[in-house]
Parts: sequence; C-alpha cells; structure tokens
Amino acid sequence: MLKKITVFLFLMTFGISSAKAEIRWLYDLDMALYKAQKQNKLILIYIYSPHCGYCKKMDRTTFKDREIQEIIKKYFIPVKVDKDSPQGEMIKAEYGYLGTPTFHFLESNGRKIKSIFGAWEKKDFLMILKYFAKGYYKKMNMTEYFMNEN
Amino acid sequence: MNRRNFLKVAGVTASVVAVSPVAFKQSVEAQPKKKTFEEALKEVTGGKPVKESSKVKLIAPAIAENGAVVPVKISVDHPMEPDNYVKGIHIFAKENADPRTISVYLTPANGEAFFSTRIRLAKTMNVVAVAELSDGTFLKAEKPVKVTIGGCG
Repeated sequence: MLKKITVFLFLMTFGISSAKAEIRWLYDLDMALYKAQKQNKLILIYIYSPHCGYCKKMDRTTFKDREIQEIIKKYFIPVKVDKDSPQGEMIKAEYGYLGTPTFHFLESNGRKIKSIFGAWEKKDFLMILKYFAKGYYKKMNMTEYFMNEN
Repeated sequence: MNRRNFLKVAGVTASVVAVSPVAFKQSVEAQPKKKTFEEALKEVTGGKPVKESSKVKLIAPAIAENGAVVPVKISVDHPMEPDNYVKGIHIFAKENADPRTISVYLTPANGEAFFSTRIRLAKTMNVVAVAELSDGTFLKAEKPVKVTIGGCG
C-alpha cells in the first residue's frame, strides 16, 4: 500500500512539474493582448506552418528547453498561429510576415517592437528572448546590442 | 505520323541527346569551386604565418538577425607612418563557399586602420579579420557569429 502511495505521489509531482514547464500557447491575439495588459508582459507571436521542418525542429528542441520555457512564462504571453489560419492571416496583415517561423515581439499595448525570421538553437533564442525580456530593446537596436555582446 | 513529322521529332530528339551532355558538363564546370579557409588565407598571406593579436579588433554581432547583411567593424591599433603602416585588412567568412569576403588596401594617408562593412554569412560560422602590415607580417582576430539555422519561404 505504502509503495502504491509513493508511486502515486511521484507521478503526481512529476506530472505537475512537467505541466508547469510546457509553454501555454494562446491561439487568439485579442486574448493575448488582454492578458499582456493585465500582467504587464510582452507578447511573443510565433507564426508557424505544419509543413515547415524548421518549425518542427524548434518545437522539438528549443521550445522544449526548460530555460526557454521559464523565460517565456515569466516575461511573455506566447501566441502560436498557423500561417494559413484566419488568426494567422490577420496577424500577417497587421504585423507582417517573413516566412516560417516568424516571431513578432509586441509590447503589451500591441505595438510591434520587432520581427525575427527563422529557427534558432536554444542558446541563441534564449539570448534573443533576454534582449526583449530585460528591456534592452528600449535602449538600442538588436544589432547594436549583439555587437556589444563581444 | 507522316515522314515530315517523323523527321522533325527525330531531329529534335537527336539534338537534345547530342547537346545535353555538353550543356550538363558546362553547367557543372561553371559552378565556382568551393575554397577552404586555408586556401583563401594562403592567397593573401602567401603561406606566411598569421599571429593572433589583440591589436586587431573585430566587432561583429554575436547573433546576426539577418545573415545576408551582417555588420562588421575592424580596427587595427598600429601606426600609420610612411615606413610602418597597415597595408591591408582582409575579412574571411570561414564556411562560405569563397571565404575571402573583402580585402581593403590602405596607405599612411588613411591615418587610421579602420573600416566597416556588411558581409553575407551562409550559416553560423567564425569571421576572421587579418591585418597585413607593411613589414610583411600578418595579425588576426576571430569571432563566431550565429545566424538562424533556417526557415521556410
């Protein structure tokens, strides 16, 4: 009986911690804007295509990384949209589109800060996320920031 | 098919068969040969040794948001006097098909060994700046620059 309880507790703990780590993508920009204003966070929009191998690679690797998941959870309201969905079409018209994956970084009021194209290794994407999360984008453009990261 | 049409079809087919191996060979030969970094460096140095030096300052972004236009700045902390100056600055992108990206030749009249430009990087790689001094020696600095691993159009 004690063994069963121990196993149950282990599974509960493991299950909860796994669920906590996952990125909770939203699929609706209006909801993201509402949440971002309420929680004073930035918005990260990820435009993907189910046929894009690089998107799949990011989903399998970069977005599975614990550090990436934590920084997104702490500083961003994440939105994931299929490029061909109605939401995707609307976001492409509003904020632009560079191919898949495209990442749009927005302030909580919906103003676009920057768009970035392409898939990134977890270490590199973490550096990009930090540029926005720590507010460096207010002081210098991204190229200047990474030029100074010598 | 009458005789006239048969001759037309046979003639066109014979031309395609005759020409295509030549055209194929030419198109393959027309492609630029991929050079290694060592080969490209030798074009500049003639095989002389290149010493790592803090006098050569290479500023490039740790992460380039667009690999097609990566800004780089190079300065060499060295006198620019008539008999002792920086004769040239050469930039290499180590993994590009032709790593020798740009060579800039200077004279003492330049006053300062500095220039900035934008280069294209095919993928994540190291960028190397080589300074050629008037005494025939070479100094270098190297920096890794990361670009996106890829995306779909």
